[in-house]
Amino acid sequence: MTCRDCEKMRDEYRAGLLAAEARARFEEHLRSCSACREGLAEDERLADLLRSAAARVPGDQYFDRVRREALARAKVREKGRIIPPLRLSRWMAVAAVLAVFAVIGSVVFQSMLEPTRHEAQKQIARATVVNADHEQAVAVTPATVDRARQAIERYSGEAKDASGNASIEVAAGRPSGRAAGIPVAAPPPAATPGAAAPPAAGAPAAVAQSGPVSFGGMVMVSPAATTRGDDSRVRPSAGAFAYDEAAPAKKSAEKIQEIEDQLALQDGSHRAFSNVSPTPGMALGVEFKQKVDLAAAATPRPPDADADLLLKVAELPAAPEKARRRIVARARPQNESDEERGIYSNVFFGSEATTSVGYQPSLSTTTQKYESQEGKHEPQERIAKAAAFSRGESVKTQEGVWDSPARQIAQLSDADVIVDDKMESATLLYSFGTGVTNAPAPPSYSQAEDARLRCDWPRAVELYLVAADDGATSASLRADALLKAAEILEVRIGDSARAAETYRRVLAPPYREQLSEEAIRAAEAKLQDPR
Amino acid sequence: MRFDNVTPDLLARCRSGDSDAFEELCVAVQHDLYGLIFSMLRDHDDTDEVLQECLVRVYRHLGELREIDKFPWWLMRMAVNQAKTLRSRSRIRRVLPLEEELEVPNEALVASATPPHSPRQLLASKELAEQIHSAVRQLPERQRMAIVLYEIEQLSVAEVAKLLRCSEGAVKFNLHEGRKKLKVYLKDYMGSRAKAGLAQ
Repeated sequence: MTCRDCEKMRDEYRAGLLAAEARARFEEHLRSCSACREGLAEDERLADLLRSAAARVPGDQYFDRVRREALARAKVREKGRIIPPLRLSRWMAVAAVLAVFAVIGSVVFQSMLEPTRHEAQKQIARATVVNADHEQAVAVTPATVDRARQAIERYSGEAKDASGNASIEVAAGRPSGRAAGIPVAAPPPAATPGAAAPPAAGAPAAVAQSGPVSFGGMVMVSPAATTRGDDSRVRPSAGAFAYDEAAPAKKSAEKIQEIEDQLALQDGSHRAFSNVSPTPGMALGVEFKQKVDLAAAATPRPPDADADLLLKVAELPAAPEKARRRIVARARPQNESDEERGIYSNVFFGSEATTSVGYQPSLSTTTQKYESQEGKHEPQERIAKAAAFSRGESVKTQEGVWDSPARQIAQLSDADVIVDDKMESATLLYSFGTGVTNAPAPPSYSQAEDARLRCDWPRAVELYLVAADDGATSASLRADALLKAAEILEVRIGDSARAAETYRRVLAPPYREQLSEEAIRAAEAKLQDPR
Repeated sequence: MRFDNVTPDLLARCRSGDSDAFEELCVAVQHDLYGLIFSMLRDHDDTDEVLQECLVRVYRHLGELREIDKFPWWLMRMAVNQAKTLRSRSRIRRVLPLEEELEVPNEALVASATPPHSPRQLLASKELAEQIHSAVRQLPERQRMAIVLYEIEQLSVAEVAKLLRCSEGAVKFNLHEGRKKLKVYLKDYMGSRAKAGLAQ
């Protein structure tokens, strides 16, 4: 057994998972190798240290407060739902079956080049009321729209503006043709017969006329229904999504257009890619989804039609066999493992993914993902990748294979997860719009490059150092960032002490391994003869 | 595994909308949940925020959990995801100097499971804890999560991989890298004396 083998087996040994024979060989090696003994002891000491500093649990007083506040918040959110919890008697339940409405609300993100908190708060709420049980839109009267809007305002707390202000000013006065006044169009014709017929009538006139410019999307359902796991109300949306997925050509064209908008926007403002607020692209991407959603919701469908549509998703080239079987079987009650359920919370604003299962990936979020994953700077490559992603292909990145939403949704076993997605994404998109867009984006390698090009030396050094620590996504970029910081300190700023210190860092692990021989020699020469 | 003190009966009562049962559930999970989140975030205020969010979500979504025996797993995943979300929203904090004062709340010290015996011990223990928190915070997210879940929560590699939605190989890699860095950051404390200091 080599020391390398021994190192690989250390964790299993510590956990007592080694088979007797392997354990004996491991221990024999330990007896003869002091380095491995020390390594094992260090692992143990480190684990002890970490555990001993982990358990500092506050007192009961603290938890009393937390519980109180959490319960209050949870109840406020409950109230914010359009339909408050009801205890229905039998006859009321029967009446409810006929009368339960799912409200599709729209929270509009006003896209500005640099949305401020105040502007972000001007989310516009629009809603149409859909009789979900019959999967058919009912006429939207001004009263129902008002009611829905009030409810959404309560829900979001801050959506104040009226829909009259809904307009998107993309890229500082470069309005996108798709950005304003979009009528709710019928989705593209289904690719296979037997799937849902494209809605001829389209959505209610009130919606069609003013066409929300973007959509935060939430489906409001009665909590009683949600807790029963009843997914009937969600089928229109699930079907719409599948429908959308079944038209990959149109979708990818939209996506590419969106990405081009984003790139144009950035070209115009000389900003680093990751520094641009994601809201314009997000709004545009979601808007398309909303059109399909509304149109599909307005179309009466036999109960099995949406299963057919989901099946079509499964038949996309990328969809796995397993998902296909699962979707075929979805009419039956299924056990949904928390593994699958977990997707819903994982897909939102985790460190990397901002694409939600129920939604198309918006351009900006998709491209930003590649930015953050790979630190790439070639827009063409990113466009190609994002377009492939939106067509339902998986994309390989440094951190593994990313499944496209089409695959993710194909792997879900139950549509009520999508309800969660919609509700959650409404909340999160909103908070994203109000909170995050106002904060400076995390510095990245490309921003540092930007600062360097503008001869903003101190800022460039600062950003390169951050990129070297954690901001850049690959080890070689991190080493490169540190080297550039050292060079700027030396040549441009003339701070020889800091430059020397930074060169010394570059020459130490883990940066050193990333440098070429030539770069190492050059850096060492500079340290020997600092100017 | 944490949260093993939650009974199916209690969960059933919560799902029926019983507020008292929810309160009881919170009491049952609060310490474990706090410990788990704090391990990941190493900051009391952040932990507070994520803890509250998790409790709110439990209240709202418990009714949708199909396999009730998976509750502990469900809650852990929620905590991990919320911690990641908070982290990504406030990523800008990472550029702040790391030597900023880490305030351990007084109530935390008072209620600590192993209260230090003298002011000197308290100081030494607090300093070491601060160093460890700071070291863990410096790790990249994936390495931090892997280390916390494996070493502190004592989950298996397979469980960590499932929770973090990555391969077992990736978990092993992140554990290896994370340990390597922690050993460097904490090299002054890796001796047995330091260990004894904290244990007191």
